[in-house]
Amino acid sequence: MLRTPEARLYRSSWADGSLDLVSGIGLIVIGIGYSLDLVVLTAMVPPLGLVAWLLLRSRVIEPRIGRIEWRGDRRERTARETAATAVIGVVALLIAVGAMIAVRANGLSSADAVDGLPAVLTALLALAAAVLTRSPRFAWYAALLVVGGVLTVVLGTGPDLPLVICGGVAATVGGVLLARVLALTSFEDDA
Amino acid sequence: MSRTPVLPKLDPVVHEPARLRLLVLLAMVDSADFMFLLRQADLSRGNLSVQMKRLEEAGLVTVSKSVVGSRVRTSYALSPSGRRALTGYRESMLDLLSAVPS
Repeated sequence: MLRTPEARLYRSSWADGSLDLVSGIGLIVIGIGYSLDLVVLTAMVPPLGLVAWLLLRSRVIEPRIGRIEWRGDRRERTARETAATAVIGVVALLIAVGAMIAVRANGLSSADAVDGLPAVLTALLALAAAVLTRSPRFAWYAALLVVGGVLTVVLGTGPDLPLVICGGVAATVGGVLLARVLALTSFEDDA
Repeated sequence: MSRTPVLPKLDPVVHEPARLRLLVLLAMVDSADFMFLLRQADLSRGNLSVQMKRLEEAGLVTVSKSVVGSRVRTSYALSPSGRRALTGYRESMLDLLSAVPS
């Protein structure tokens, strides 16, 4: 239980499921990109996902649940944590893509340990999201990704499988949460 | 014995439960729009409009309207006197409840 009502309010502002849905779909697309050898596709997912998430928030969610401007201290903290999450995301993406390209260029087998790397690096991003949003469900996604990454190495499957599976879980959770928001009465002009 | 009341008085504008919730919500943020207050305070649209009008008339909140797409968005913020009133209410309430044996 979060200590203050403000902290609980902040966490509830991330409970609409839009981030889960968009990032889940993004992971599925990245996984498919890996399986089809369209590694460049993975680089396009984060910016497109960000635009989609912002549009979903402003056009669909905020008209129903309302909009708030946070106090200065909260805004600064969120900006710092968002920047840190973005840096982790970019570094993870670069490492994952670089490793895959290097492995394939050297003709190593797909059962190489590096196949588990994308899932584990994505787990770091999910953990950062858990901290940013104060939402434990993102830590569960991270745990799922780590397990998937380990199984990828042990079973010798491709790197796409844990991403697609975790993406499917996140997108499903996000879809359910978003459906609850959409079930709220439709918006009208304010009184 | 002094004839001055021992117990503090509570501001009736702040003390009303729905208005108190609205003021506390606004104290947690810089500003919030009508829909946010509607969801969080769990009031009807009509009741929320009445309560916000009352708070605005008392000078405890400030109101701004903007057009977003085809919609009118009404945003509220706690005014400086609203913040003072809420702080004063908290002190009075703490003082009042300190008289209750635990």
